[in-house]
Amino acid sequence: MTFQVLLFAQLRELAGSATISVSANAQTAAQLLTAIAEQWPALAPALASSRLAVNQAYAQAETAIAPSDELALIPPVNGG
Amino acid sequence: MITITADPLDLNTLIAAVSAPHCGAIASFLGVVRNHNQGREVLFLEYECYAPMVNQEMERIIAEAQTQWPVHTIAVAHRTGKLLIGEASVAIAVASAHRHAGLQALHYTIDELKKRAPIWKKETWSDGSSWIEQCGH
Repeated sequence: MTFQVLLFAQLRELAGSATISVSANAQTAAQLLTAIAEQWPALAPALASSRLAVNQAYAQAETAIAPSDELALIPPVNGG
Repeated sequence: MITITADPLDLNTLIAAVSAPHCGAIASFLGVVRNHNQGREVLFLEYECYAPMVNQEMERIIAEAQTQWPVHTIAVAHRTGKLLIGEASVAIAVASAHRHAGLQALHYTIDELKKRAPIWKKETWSDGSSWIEQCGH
């Protein structure tokens, strides 16, 4: 399965792209994060502190994912 | 009511939007860009956001505030793009029948926005720039 993942801020700059593709047999947020770490080592400096969002809501480690979901990596936020 | 915009924020617009005849209090907050952070002189900030999720997360935060305190309407506006010193980055207005509920809901809304809304700011100084980690102040 191929997942498209949106990137923002320092993650977008580290990848040089606002979206990355990840090929993985992942069914949970935690499994996808592991695959991202393996396939996109450039993201390493900011990945450990980032959270996955599934369909515009923060995911837990066991949150189920599918390639049709809107997936995004959220680095530490700093609004306001 | 949630607005994400590249245009300058106007707190009075939010106050007008939340005001209602039965509300005796409108609590408001305006966050502005300051000229220093962690000992360095800041020239300007650039805000980036994941707009659809900011809308979703702020809807959740506003609903949580309205569950905890008897408030009528909460309006939030956040700026994106390049902001200079003194420009407003975030504006919030809360209308309620009485002041205590409105002030507490206001406090909750800005604190949770800072913790949860997917918004990022990059600082530019005279000698470089960087995305900022949350400072907690």
